[in-house]
Amino acid sequence: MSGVAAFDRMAIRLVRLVAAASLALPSHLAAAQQPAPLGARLSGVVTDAATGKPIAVEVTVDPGRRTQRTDTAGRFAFRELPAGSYVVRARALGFASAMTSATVRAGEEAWVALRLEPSVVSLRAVQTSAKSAERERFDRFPVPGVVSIGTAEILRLPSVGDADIVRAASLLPGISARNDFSAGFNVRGGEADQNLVLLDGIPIYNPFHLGGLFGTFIDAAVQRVDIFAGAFPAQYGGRLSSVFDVRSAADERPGVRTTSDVSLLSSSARVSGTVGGGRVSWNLAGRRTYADRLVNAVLGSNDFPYHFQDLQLHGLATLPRGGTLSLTAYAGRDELLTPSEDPNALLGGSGGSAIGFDWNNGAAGVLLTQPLGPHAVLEQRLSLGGFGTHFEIPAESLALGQQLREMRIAGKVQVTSGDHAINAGYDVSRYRTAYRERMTVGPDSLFGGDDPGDGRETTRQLTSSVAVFVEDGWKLDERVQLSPGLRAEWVPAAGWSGLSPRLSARFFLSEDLALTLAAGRYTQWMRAVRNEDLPIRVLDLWIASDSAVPVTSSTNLVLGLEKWLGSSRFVRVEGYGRRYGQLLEQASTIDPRIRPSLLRQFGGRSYGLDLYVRQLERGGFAGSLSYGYAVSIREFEGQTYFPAHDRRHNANLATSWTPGKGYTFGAHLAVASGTPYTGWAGYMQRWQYDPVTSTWTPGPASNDQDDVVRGRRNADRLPLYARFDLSAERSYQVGRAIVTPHVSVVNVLDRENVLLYSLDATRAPPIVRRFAQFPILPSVGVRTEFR
Amino acid sequence: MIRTRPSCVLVTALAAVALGCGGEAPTAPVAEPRVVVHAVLDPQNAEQVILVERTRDGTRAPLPPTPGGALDPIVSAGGMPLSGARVVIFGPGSDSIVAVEDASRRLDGVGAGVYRVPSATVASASASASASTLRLVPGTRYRLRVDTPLGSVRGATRMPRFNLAVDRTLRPFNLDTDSLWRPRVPGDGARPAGYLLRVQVSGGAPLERLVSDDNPLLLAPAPINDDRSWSFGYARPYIRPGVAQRFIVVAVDSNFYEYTMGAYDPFGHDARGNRLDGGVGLFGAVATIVDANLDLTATRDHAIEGDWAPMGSGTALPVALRLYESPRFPGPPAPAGPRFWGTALMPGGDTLLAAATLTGQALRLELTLPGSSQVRQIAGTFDGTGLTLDVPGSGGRVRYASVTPRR
Repeated sequence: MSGVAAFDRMAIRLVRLVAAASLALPSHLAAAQQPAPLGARLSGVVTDAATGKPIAVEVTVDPGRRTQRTDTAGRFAFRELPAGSYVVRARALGFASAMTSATVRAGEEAWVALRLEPSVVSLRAVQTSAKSAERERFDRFPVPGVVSIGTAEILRLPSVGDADIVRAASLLPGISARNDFSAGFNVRGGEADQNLVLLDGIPIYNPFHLGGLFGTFIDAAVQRVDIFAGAFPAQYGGRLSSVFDVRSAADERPGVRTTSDVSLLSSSARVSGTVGGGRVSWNLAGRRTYADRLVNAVLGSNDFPYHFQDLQLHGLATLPRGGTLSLTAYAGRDELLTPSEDPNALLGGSGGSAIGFDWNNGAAGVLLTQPLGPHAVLEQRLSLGGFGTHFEIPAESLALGQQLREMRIAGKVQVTSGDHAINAGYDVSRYRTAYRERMTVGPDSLFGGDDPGDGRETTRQLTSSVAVFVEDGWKLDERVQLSPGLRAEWVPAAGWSGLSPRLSARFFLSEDLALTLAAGRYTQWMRAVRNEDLPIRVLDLWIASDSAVPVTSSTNLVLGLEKWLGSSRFVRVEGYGRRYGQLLEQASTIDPRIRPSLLRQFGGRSYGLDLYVRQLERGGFAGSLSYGYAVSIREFEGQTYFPAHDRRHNANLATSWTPGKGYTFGAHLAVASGTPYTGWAGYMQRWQYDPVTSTWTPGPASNDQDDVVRGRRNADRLPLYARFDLSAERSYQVGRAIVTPHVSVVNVLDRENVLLYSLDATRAPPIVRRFAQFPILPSVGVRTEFR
Repeated sequence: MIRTRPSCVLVTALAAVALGCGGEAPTAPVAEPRVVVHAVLDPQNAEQVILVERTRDGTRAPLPPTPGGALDPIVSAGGMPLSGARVVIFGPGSDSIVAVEDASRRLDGVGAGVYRVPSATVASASASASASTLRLVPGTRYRLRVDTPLGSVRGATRMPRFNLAVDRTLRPFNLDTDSLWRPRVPGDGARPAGYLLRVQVSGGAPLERLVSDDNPLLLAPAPINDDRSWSFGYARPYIRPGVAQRFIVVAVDSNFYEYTMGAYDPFGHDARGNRLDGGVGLFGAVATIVDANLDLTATRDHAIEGDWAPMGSGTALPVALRLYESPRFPGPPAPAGPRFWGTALMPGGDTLLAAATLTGQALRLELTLPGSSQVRQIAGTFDGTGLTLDVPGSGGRVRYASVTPRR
């Protein structure tokens, strides 16, 4: 018995065991999965009849329709065939197809040779009408709230500088960005750290640059993004709100190609190709902003001392037995170094000290996929990832730093049989976090409080999580699809374990109209502790659940209706409700010091309705209209309030049009109601009690910040937000290159959208100042692709 | 056929233009007044005070101080008192005492917003007191409720544990050999959120710090050089041998600590360090647990150290002089020679701080009034057994004799 066959059976047994225990797997599946009699082997070689050289072709044996690609020596081998006679066919572009027959007996091997005659083939223009990924998902997977976006679509839309797949997510229903300065998103009322961001399955902890202004992925290196806005399947865990699953681009064409995009803000380049006769595809992309050098060169000053850089690598190798081995690596780094800048802008402090601020992201992982027979596929994954940040004001003796490292081993087996598609797998992660602070803290310091110990604090966590899951995509009949799932999770350091059941179902009312229902429980044990009342992300500090930090959980219910209007247009309406438990935040919005025991623990709920109308590209036109109505409420110590991301109405209209002659136009209109903020109630006299003299004395009479009294938490709202963006590009063929100059104008109408209000207490009477989001922002660039 | 293309783009553009042109500039937020309450329960007082006012809206400039400020503190500080509020403190057991506003007891209406309740300190919740008196019991939780037309304010505090008696007698203390510890306070419960530390010289400005450290060693003996290992280490440059100083430790609850130490949060809510519900301010509790009057000396390892008395008269010279020196408390660096610290009792009764610099036999004495920056300089000599000071402006000299018994 071969190893593959043994593993095949073991995998099937494992899946059946887990599935039967949790999902009452129907008995007919067990019968369907009985392996066929095995033992014969049919192998051979395929060569070019003219040159005798081996060629890479697709070989098929019938009966059974088993298919294989030849290796570099032109060889193929079908193992574990039932004894009998087979027809072997080989076909390749540029050759006439050939076939032969062979008979194999149990336990023996037959060998055949096929010689393909070169043949000139004239291809006629063909028109294909493959189903879109969205329609495929509608027909086969009963998961609500899923949207796929391809990089090509994102490129056609207006953007600030480079196209940004993270920022593009906010065009989708149920997803809202807090403001123009934050590419971070809140999904259906959840906090921004509740989104699981994956790059080829590797968790990315802080997929942003400049505190959330830009996404971290290079658009040219990304093929597509699948976004699960809620009630996601059991194979995903560790987050409450959504899954943002980014897939790297894989170039399957022979040769080497380069693309570049040069804009005022940054330049990016990608090199890609295949080697080994197409068995290995690879691409490498890099990006660096250079506004710092531009300002330095033009103005001769260091007024913009910031840049970031990214490097993204992806490789995919096809293995001899039909499996694949892929490698993905990402490294990104931001640096903000001001030798003599005023840190006011960052932290609201005073002084003219130098500051240093850098943060970095890194991830690397390998994924092995291996077919285990005709109906099963094994995936095995190993990855390392991490995030680090470091902030320092040397003159203030202030330094903060965090490192997070995750090592993850995960795997799953997918078995399809009849009406079932079963996933079963595991996910084991080991986390190492280190948080360091060094600061002189006293009554006059930036953050208040007295000196904690010697002013140096280090918090280290070494923790882990273990999860196993099973889920079944079960097509009961032509009208009903069910996907029950179960996820069992264990976080030893927190002394916590739990079961997270998931269920989604789709009922087809007609071929193009379906009702979707989903519910599930979700948990999270790694979170970025941040008070979201701060409108701009400055620092993300991640801590794990342990004895002092509980595991956060939520329950989720989604009910939706989806209607397809033809093959490229659909309308989706989904209502949802969520309830959260044991959410955590820092009590202060600006004090970055982490004290797990001092985190504020709260709960809450959110509910809403999302409408999504999408026109997939057809005849050069594509577009989407999304509208989300959402209500988020949080509860702390019996008091309720709206979280700062509670955007009640959010509408986005995005269109792109390619009329021909190389032109493409894009437009984006966003209209949204304002998010909550905390207003002001005035000033108070801060009386000082002296316990030695037993007297009350008024504090210094002033209108400075000490006396300011804020209003109820997030009881006021910013005004309506509206922004209109336009873009245009035209492609030219220049020799072997396609050159595409592009222009984008963000906020074409230069509308002032309020970012935040700030009380100027130095004036008498004091005044409230408003700070705006993006003004009109034009950007130009040139994209070049060498073939 | 896709007929929607031009119309979609057109609708998008029109809607954008309409929004862009018609959008109003955001207006400034409107302030909403809130209730401001200040109260700190202190067992050393026979009466507890609660100040109730409203926030200022920022358009009203603070009033100039008015006469009778102590009796009418809120008004005289330019505040807007809230009169007629119902102020109740809930104590141990079923105790609840309604505070009475000063303005309601006085015919002149002075004392608006100032509410008082009589109090008595007792060792346990079972001890009896007058029904109209708030019993202050160590380690006990108290609640405050203030009902006003602007809304209700609620707060809670826990009285720190304390000893009923605090020793305030003047005691000798050798800085080189002695140590001062925080007394053990009986009872269970969480420790205080912090300690207010204060060191002061009679007549001088106090040097104060609020810390969360639970360090029981207040003043360390000589072998301990790490200032972080003893509570008053922060004040070491100001602790002088030869001077009587007062060391006070007040245990404070978490509300008092946060109110004092909390930082302003530009995107937070409430006010700096606020822990009240429905309003802002402070409802805290404090208890003095150490009030040590220490007559600081040091080990006499130099002949000039000790007490000196004049053998003659000189109107501008001290009638008693004390000088000591401790390696652990050297004060600021001296330009030359050893430096000694102490006090000088002047003929008029003032006690001045003394600093003496000895260069060979030449002595320079600097005298300052606590809290003042004016320095009076006197020259003199010290020959190893006797000390002589020049009478300023007269050319005369007065010899001083040691009155400290030799060991």
